[in-house]
Amino acid sequence: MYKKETKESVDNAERRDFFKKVGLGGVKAVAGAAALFTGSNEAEAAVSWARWFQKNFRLMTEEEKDKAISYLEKKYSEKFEKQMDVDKSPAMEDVLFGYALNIQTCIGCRRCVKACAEENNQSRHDPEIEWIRVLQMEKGNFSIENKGEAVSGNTLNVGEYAHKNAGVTLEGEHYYEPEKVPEKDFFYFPVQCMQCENPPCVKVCPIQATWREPDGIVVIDYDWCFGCRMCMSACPYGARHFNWGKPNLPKENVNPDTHYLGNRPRTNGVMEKCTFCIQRVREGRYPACLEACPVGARKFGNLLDPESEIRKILENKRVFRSKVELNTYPKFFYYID
Amino acid sequence: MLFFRFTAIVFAVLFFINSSFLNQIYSAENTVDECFESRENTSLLYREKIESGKDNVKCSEKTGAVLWYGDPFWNTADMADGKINKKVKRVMRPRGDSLMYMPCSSCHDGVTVPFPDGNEPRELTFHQEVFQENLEMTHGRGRIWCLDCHTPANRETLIGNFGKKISFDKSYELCGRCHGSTYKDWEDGIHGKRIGMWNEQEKKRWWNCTECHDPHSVQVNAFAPLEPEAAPVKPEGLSEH
Amino acid sequence: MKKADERKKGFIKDLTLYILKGGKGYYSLLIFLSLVIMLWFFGLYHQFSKGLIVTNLTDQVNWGLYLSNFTFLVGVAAGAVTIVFPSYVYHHKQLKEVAVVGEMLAIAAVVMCLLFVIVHLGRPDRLLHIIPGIGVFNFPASMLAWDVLVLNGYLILNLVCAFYYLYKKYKGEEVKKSFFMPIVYIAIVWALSIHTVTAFLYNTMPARAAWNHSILPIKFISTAFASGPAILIITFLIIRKKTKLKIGDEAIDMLSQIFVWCLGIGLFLMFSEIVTAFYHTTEHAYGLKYLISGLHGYSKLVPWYWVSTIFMTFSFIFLLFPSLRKNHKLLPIACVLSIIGIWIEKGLAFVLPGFFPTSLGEVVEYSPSLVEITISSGNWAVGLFLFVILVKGSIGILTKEVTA
Repeated sequence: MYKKETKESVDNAERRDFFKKVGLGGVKAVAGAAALFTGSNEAEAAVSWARWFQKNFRLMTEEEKDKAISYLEKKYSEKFEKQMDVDKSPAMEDVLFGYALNIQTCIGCRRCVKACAEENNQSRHDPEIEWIRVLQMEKGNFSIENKGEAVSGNTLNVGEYAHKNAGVTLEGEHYYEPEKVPEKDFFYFPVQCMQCENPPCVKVCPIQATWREPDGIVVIDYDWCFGCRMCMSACPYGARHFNWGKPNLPKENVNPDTHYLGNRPRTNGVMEKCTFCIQRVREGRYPACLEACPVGARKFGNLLDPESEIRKILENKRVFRSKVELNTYPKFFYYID
Repeated sequence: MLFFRFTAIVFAVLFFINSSFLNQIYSAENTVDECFESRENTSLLYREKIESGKDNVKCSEKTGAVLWYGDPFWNTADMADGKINKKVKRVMRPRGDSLMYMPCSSCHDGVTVPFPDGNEPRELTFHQEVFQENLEMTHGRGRIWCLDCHTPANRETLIGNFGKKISFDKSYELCGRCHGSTYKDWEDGIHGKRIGMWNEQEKKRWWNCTECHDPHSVQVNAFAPLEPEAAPVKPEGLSEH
Repeated sequence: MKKADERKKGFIKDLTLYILKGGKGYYSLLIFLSLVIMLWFFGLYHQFSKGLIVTNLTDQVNWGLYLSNFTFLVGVAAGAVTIVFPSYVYHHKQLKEVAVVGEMLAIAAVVMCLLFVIVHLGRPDRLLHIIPGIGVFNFPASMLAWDVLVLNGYLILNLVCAFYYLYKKYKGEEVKKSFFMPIVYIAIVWALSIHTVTAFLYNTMPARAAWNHSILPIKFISTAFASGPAILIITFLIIRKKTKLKIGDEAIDMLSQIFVWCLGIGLFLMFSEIVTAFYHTTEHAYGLKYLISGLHGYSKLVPWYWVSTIFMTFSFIFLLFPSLRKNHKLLPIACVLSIIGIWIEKGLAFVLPGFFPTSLGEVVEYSPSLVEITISSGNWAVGLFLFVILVKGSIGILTKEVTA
């Protein structure tokens, strides 16, 4: 009885010790992780408590928006060592933005992709985020050399071209980098957020961090999104991008004119995507990708204005949209001359 | 129990290692000074600071192409006119200063170089760079010659409709005489590049035809293939197949 | 009042003391799990400080090991209904005696699910944003909002069911049927809902052709009702061997019957999927093609798919024979094989094909990074740890070693 008790008490003591160590280690781990998470960077260390309770931008009052914006301007200006402006301009009346891209003219030079990165403060590496992706599409390879084994016999598909793909590879090439573009046997197809009127990404977000603004732009509140990436899977155009790590934006490359819902610098773990350069278009200016295009393949305007270039294109050119069968009603049109 | 102490020490050390070593600032100050807007060796400009400390343009490190305009109307002049759309606020970059041989009348004054009779294709003693092959201009594939566009007696102007003279700054009016549907698209803003404000009534900078298309050797230099920007970084898990 | 409070405190105290008592086997299991949990903390530190870039997820394949495990575990949680349903609706006496173990499995599984969701998020510090009232809850539009609701509801239902039952048993009283039975019935229906909603999370996205088909909820539930009982059978066989709790043969037999028939339905649905996809292979079938024979030269998942299919088919055929089903030396082998098979089939071999090819036609492979494996193992260890101590406590009360 006595021996058993001693052994038991020793066991108990060892157990207590064990749990104490595990508990302490655990507490340290959680505290350390929390500390690192909230305050690992010099400027970000000054997180005020109010920020934790900041509301979804769509539901904020004007005063709350102003407060959030002045905090952000201060934080960004400190971090990037220049005066940063964060705008909150609302949608203009009687405006519905539309975009058109001439795939007859596009030469696949990718200047739009890089201009977008410059304008919209995208992370340059780890991860490299680019809101526009240009696909190189094959025109079709119908060469006599491509014929295969002749299929013959008692079958319904005979001949040398049976079961072949009729000359075209269906998926586009993403990583082309030839000496010169356009290459002879290809045409180019840039893809970015289609700003759908029936956006699947908006529907699936569990916390309404993304929504469609009155002027047709689908926006994200970067301070509300918690990075579940439902929207990323729901988007049929691969238009939504995720900050896998802390964005690497050198301060020399920062664009200081930003909008809360647009190109202000993002943080780790949130989604981002093309906003039709909301910071520019709400001030009346063209998006950055359009201005970069050397051949004028990109056109933009107010779909509700019959005099706009976009309306003239819809009337006079042959226009189509991508993946219409999904009923997303995109506002990014493709056309040929 | 020693194991647990060891683990605790390992944890403690790790907690004090800040993750900031990963944020190496990828220094990428825009260092390109001479950039081009459409294709190389045409529409060149220099990067400089404008008011508000912004750059007038940002250029590609890889190709030297202009990517971004700080001020879309920098170095432009008012060119509003147009019978089709009088409300257009059009600014363009004046061509005059960038033309190589201006003023043309210093040679083409009727004395140094006499005014020619007729418009037959003939051997030239100057301006040979304009031609690709002898006596056949690429523009029009041998169907047009110099004085179909240039006023014989005043080489600083071009031939317009109604016998009117067109200045080099508005050379688009000449192009539109033959290329009517393209010209209409250009006036609508559908053909060619325009930057500035998207509202149809607001100011835009238009590109003159010749800023993209060389009028003498259109098929050869008009948007000849150029160097593309860099491809996106390939994700892990994408191998060469 | 004072007595009831003392009793409740007594319940918790007695239960805790009982859980802390154990032999070598019990403690070595818990210590092993604790070591994995320590590595888990290290992995979490890594991921929380640097972000999800420490995983091998990319823009092209942005759901990976975490949600694979999540999907499987929701199935396991739903599978607990396979013990509750026969017990309370069909009054299967022997199962009813041990039904609480099923509920403990559900609790542990849902806790693991919540852990996997938290580590999947880019900003877990913003978890409060989903709480209705404090945050914005996009209900009923977002399937993920539905999932949060049903999972947490299921957790609460099972906690109430299990601990109320145990508390009553501890006091030596009968459960109050007017309170207990409605909760049990709700829990039975709710179990179906958690896995159906999880399936809807995936199949309501037309952008992902490999997921976008209507058999998904049925496939999920059938494989869930195979994996849940399989885990419970193994648990019961271990309990029989290592503890004093008596579990009847009929209980195990009922579970194994549910197991084999649900596995059969699952296999039939997989077969149906294959015929539908490959009669005339469109691009929508490329996800499945990637699993079966590789796509464009990428074939990392092909061996996993075939192992999973062979394991499940073999278990199914094996368990068709009652003599083999009742052989308690061979039965756990079939259980383990099909748990592994279903874990693959509902896990990575389900989540990854949704991204093959991506919306823009890219094919990018994914295999988990060390951090992901560490964190996932740690999540499993936490769940198993919880399951072990909860079952220990339940056994204590069921064998009447812990009484008021």
